[in-house]
Amino acid sequence: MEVTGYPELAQKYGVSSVPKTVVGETVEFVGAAPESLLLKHVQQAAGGSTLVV
Amino acid sequence: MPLMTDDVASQLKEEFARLVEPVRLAVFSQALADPESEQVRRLVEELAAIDPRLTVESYNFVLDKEKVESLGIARIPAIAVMGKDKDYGIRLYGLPSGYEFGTLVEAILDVSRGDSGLSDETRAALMELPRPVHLQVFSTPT
Repeated sequence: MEVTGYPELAQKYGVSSVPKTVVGETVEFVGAAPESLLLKHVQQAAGGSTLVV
Repeated sequence: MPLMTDDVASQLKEEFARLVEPVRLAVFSQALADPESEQVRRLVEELAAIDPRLTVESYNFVLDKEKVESLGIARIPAIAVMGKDKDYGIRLYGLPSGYEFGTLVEAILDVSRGDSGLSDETRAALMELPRPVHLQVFSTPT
């Protein structure tokens, strides 16, 4: 999402630096994440196991 | 007057030589509420004209309510990047300019390949998720 056109979303999600990723409304991080960490974030947001396989 | 320069169009022609399966691009715009969204529609139409495996469906965000709902479009301008028979849930919002233009092209190539590039381990773990998860990536053109 190119956030410049959506200032209300930038405010809602506190986007000050980019890229910012919001996972399931509860988990967020700035910058790139390696695949294993991204999976961990997704699992955490889904309320499942946070153990990385 | 085209939005895309000849240089960009010929670079894209090379990129799209890597297309595997056809890709459908659904663009949602609304000229009255958001004139910029019309630019996005034109850009995507120009992009799709480069390769016959790319097709565009243009929708009005206000009038085409059924499509807006079935594809879960939250705002405009929006582009849904979908496979021939499968919707992977990829939605691009805002102007696909600067770095974001590359994101659009990569999304098209990924969908065409039908492969995210994730490892088998990650895929197996994702299959075990108890519920769907919405990922939103915020960026700026620069």
